Amino acid sequence: MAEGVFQVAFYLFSTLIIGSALMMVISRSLFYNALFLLVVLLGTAGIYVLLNAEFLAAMQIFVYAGALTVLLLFVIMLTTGRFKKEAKIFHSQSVVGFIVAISLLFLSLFSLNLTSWKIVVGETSHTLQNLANFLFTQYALPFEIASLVLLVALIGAIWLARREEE
Amino acid sequence: MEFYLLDVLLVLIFSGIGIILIALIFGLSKLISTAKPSEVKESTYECGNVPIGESWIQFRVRYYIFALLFVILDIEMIFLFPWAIVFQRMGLFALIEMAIFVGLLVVGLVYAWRKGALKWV
Repeated sequence: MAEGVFQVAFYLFSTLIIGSALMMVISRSLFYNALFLLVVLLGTAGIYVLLNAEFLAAMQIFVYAGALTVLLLFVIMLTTGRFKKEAKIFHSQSVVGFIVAISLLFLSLFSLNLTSWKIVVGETSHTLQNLANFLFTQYALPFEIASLVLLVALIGAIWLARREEE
Repeated sequence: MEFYLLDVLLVLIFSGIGIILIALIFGLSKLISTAKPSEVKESTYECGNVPIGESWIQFRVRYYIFALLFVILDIEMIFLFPWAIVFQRMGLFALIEMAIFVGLLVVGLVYAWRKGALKWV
């Protein structure tokens, strides 16, 4: 019973992800592209939930679906004056784009094939607990450095935006 | 596994109730209300003024700071979740760690404030 529900949910999320990813590429408005990307990211969060990784799913929604999409939409709104025309699907760069896409596809398939998918046996219900234990003891310094990196990003962005204003 | 499924099921039930509720409210108001659209009614509402130009204008770059501030504070918030789990066990050490982490970001926030980046103009 439980397995069946997970199977159905997996195929539902997969269809959602692949469908919106396709729409993201096909859709000709930059704004809708970003919204379809949001659906892809939310679908990925659903897959994480199915894998018993709730914290990862929450992070996916907070950071990727929330913050990243907002950032992307802002960039689109900031540059919309320059890209008023709707994006074409076929243009002079189609051939180059096709080659890059095909090589990326083969690269991912190749690395998928090379990876040995080991099945992890053991406790999966305390993943956040384990993560927290490592983060605040063994990896305390990288944790603090992460804060410093965020600070640098913040100050850098303010400086750049202010210079642009003047 | 069974308990996990129950949790997921609860989330599904709540999402279902949410979707049904919103569909019901919007559907009912669509059903009951009368609609007589005209050109004036369908134009963009702008505090009673007649709207000028398109709604798709180029935003000023300074609004990007708000998006970026949101991203950075969002990531800061993410770190608070694992911290809350170990806080009771690790006590003062965890508190100092988080104080440094948040303190550094508060410096950034104060910088943004002092530079007037938080002004909505």
